[in-house]
Amino acid sequence: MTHPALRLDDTVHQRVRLGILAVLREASRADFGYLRDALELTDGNLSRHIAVLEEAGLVKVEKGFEGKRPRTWVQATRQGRNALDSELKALRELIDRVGAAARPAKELRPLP
Amino acid sequence: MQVTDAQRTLREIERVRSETRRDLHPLSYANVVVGLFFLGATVCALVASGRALPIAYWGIGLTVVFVLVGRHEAQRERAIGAEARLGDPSTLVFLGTVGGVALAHALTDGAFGEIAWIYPVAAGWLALAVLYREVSMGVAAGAFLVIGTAFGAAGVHHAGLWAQGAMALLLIATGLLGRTRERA
Repeated sequence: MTHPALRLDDTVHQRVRLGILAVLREASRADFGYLRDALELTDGNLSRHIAVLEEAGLVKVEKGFEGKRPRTWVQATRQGRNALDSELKALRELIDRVGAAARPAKELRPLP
Repeated sequence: MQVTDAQRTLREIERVRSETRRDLHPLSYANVVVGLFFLGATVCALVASGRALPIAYWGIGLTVVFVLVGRHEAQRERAIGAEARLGDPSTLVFLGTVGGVALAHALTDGAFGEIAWIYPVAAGWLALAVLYREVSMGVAAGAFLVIGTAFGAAGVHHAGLWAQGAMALLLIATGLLGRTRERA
């Protein structure tokens, strides 16, 4: 079995992109403005990260209008949801593994 | 990657997810509406001489509650620009609670049968509190559990009904508290 750190995906494992996928794990879809405000990002910064996720097939972008108002909807694909779940699993395993390795060292510490 | 980084990342992801859940389902409105419904149901059961009025109240009242909460959530989704998923965790908790109440009614009788429903309701309430990281809801769920159990243990006449009244007041109080916080 590979070390959990090796299973962290470079595309997903980035603060902003993790944030986008975390929002989209709870919402069926979110518009650009909601993501920008929720994650406290600038338009340009958010656009760049959405483009990376879209290119990797992790999100789907839909542009449309609601009345006269243009709206850009972003939705996580199944692959995107799975990628976030795998990332979380790898992070938890990493914490558990290091925690387990640290315990015997503590137990062997000499008494004062 | 350091373990502290991994822990911080996990905490941050959970925070973002909780905030999104709260944005999508602002429970304050639902708590007040559901609380008012149960308050009305308690009064109705206490004053009605037959079963016709309570049955009519539940039939009409529940429909109104679903319409009001559903419409409020739809309006909010449009306003904030995010849509909830079908079958999200809060829906599953709600369905689990309804199933638990039905099971409690089917499996218990006598004095305990009158208050048995409070346990699945308190568990569901607590699960929602954890899901939304809402301390006030957790406290209300705990208070409801203690009050309902006390009514049952003391052998209060219509213990289940008084527990329902207490739940209604706790729901309204939690909802109003949440609404004040949302506006702040």
